[in-house]
Amino acid sequence: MGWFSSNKPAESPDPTSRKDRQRCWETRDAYFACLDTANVVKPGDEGTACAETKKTYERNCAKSWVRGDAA
Amino acid sequence: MSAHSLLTAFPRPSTFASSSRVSLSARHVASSSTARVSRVFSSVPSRRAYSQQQQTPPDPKLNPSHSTSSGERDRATVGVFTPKAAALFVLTGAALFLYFRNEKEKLLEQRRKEREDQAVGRPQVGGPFTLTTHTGAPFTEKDLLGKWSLIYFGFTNCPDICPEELDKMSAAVDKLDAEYGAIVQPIFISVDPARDSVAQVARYVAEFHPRLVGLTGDYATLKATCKAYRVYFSTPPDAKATDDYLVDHSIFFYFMDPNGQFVDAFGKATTEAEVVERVKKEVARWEREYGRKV
Repeated sequence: MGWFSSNKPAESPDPTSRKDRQRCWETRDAYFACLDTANVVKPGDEGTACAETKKTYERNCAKSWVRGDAA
Repeated sequence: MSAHSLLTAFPRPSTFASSSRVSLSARHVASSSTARVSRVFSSVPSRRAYSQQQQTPPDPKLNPSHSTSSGERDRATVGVFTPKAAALFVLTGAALFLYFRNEKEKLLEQRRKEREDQAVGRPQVGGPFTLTTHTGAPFTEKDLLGKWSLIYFGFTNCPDICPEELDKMSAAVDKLDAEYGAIVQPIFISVDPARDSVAQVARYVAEFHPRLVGLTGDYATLKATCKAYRVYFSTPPDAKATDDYLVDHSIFFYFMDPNGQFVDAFGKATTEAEVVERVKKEVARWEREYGRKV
């Protein structure tokens, strides 16, 4: 698996790995679910309410995926 | 009810001339026994019934010569337009009408089907290219020949649409494999030359379908290939492998025939079942035309 060895997926999620993608989606869903319970419509407006799930989400997904921007 | 009224109540293609005979036989019947009345009643109200009635000798009231002249006069007046001829004419007409209407419907249906399949002829999609497979082997448009192919353009760093579409494509290929054997080749072509190295693509395709071929190349080659396939992508030429960015790109996958010609494109809205159906339909058509599946 080269550099993206899956023993440290939390630090460098490998987009080519189905498992890592799945983990990213799950943490994202967890973060969004937290936002829903906090009644936040726009991510970023929640203050510190979902800090924990947000950190997990950002750690498990590539930065571009979190930002959702295109090159 | 008198015998006369019974007789005239019969629906029949009567002419003015034949009425003379009706009254004649009616008169005759009226003078005969009730048994004969019932016979007239039950017989077909045609000329034959009346002529049969006329032939019943001996009746002193009837003049044979008068009867003969009446029959000739009828025939002359009626001409060839007998009830039988009329029936034949109407039947033939109706049959021809139905036949041609049916034929026309068939033709319209066929045209409609053709239009449905090939909306406005074959689009100019595809062309020559030389890329590298995930195993490092060269792959050109000639490698598409002799197999049906499903081609998806995407990139390995794609968040969710590409994996979903590739999963859908792989599932469809599995279904088609079960039906026909390996006659449909799934292909992934990268639109992210900076990051999608051969090794990266190899890791990526391995998790989708065992026969999925991953193709990549340098920026110019991929750009040219995508242009030939009418695919847009936004990767800048100067992107670095370590950059973290998303690629905006066309997300449909192409369905190409064993001649490497474009058949159809499937978007995100197309379900796996629809893909399978479409491919099956095309394979069936190909088989009808060439006698083989590829």
